[in-house]
Amino acid sequence: MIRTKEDYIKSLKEHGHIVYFNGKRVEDITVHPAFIPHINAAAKTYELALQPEHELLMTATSHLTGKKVNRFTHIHQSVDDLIKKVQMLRLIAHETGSCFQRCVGCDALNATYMTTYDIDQKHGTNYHARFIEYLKKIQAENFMLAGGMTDPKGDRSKSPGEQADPDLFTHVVEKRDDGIIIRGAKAHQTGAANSHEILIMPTQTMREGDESYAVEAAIPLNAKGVIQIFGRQTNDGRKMEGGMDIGNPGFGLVGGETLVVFDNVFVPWERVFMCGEIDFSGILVERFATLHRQNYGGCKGGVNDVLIGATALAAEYQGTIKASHIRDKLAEMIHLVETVYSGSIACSAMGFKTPSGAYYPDPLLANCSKQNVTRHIYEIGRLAHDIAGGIIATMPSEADLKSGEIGKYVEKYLAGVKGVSTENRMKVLRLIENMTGGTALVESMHGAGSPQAQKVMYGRLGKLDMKVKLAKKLTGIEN
Amino acid sequence: MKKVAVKFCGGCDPGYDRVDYLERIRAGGENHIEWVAIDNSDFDALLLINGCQRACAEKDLKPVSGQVTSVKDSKSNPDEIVKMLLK
Repeated sequence: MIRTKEDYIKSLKEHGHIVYFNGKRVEDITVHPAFIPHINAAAKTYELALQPEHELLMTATSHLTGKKVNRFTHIHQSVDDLIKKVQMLRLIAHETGSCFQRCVGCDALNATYMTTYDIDQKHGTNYHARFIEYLKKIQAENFMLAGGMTDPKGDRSKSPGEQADPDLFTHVVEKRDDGIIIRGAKAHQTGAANSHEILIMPTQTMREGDESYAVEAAIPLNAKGVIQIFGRQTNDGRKMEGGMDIGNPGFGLVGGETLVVFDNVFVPWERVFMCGEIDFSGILVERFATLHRQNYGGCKGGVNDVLIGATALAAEYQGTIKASHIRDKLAEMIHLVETVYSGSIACSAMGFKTPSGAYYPDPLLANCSKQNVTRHIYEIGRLAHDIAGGIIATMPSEADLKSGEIGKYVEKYLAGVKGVSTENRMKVLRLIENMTGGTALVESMHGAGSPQAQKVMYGRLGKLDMKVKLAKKLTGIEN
Repeated sequence: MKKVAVKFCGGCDPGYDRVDYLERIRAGGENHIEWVAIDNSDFDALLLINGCQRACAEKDLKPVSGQVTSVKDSKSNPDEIVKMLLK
């Protein structure tokens, strides 16, 4: 069982999974600078669970075994569990200042738990019992899971079966007595490079004729035929240099995403939880999306608490902290963070019990919460840039600061208020740059679904007809 | 020596450093308090350390026979908390 950070890193060393970065195979991701910050962030989900001051949020009691488990492997048994998940995410984000990746697997487990139950009720299959056995193993081993939903999708105007290349959507290419063969890929897979398994799910509602694409399965990431290609990030070359120019040297930025390729991967039947049930593909997608969108006010709220702190510190170091417009902008940043957080708490508080017994957040409110994140995090970043100043885009490097020839000039001309070292000022400005640059913001936009995906849900869940009736009633319009 | 157990809230967004505050209470109670695990039912008092007024450590608390002291901020001098625990 994985308990500590050291256990987790050891498990990744022994994993033997195939990961590429920048055109080269990475034999041991645990010692490669492109991966270390992301591993450190995910490791926090193990470390904090062992600390008494965080145990209440980081752990839960398994409804299957009665044993204490990491909350990331837990099936929500109450509204309180839903709220605790969001609180936990804010807590961990305070420690990392970046994505810690493990929520996606938690959400995949919960969506699968609910949906396999429903499939069995309608079709008489035994997916739920299979899944429970799988879940018990995940809880006992404390594995980290990736949640694989997004397919590459090729030509977005065409259905899976209409694509020029059928593999642009992940699908079953062969059914055998002992299992199935999977081919395709999952894109943007947060944390997959340092996860143990991936739970793949259909990427969208599947229609008649696309049964082979309605597949859900748990696949070890070291299975034969699984290949991961790690994505580039803004300023990732700085990770190779080390030092303060990374901005957040311990934990990097965002989660670290891979394109996960399934090149004819065998999956035994006991790890298959949907195979052709197109009528449940849509609800599985909706549930996973809702559970994941529920999170964003928690994790992004927490990450941006750190950003607000960094911005206030930069203002203090630059002597602007007492200016009324700076105080006002900091207050606005706090307002925006608490707004996204309150959305995540609200959808959790309005959560309800599904037929499976697992609890589920209010889907409309969860989608609103994520939609606010796509907007407010950009605005928070804009305010951070405003307060920090153009220096975050023009600042010399750490090497310049430490240069024997020109370091004295950097030290002298980047100085802020008396008593604060130039190095400290540069450190906090780099952190702001890191947290508000390209990749960091795009994650808020597209992670857990692009803005339009939430708008589609508003159309379905927004009760527009009832709102029209309300207006008619007040105005006396009868038809 | 009075036996005291501690329970923390989860610490989602605490208003002060809960661990540091407990350390100051521990220092103040040195030689007077024996700190025991909460799952050890044999304690005289229970100290709840909460990060805010919501006081999540108070939730789902199993009935305890001893005195319960719930801290929700760091306004009180830790020595005052020690005095309450030793009452």
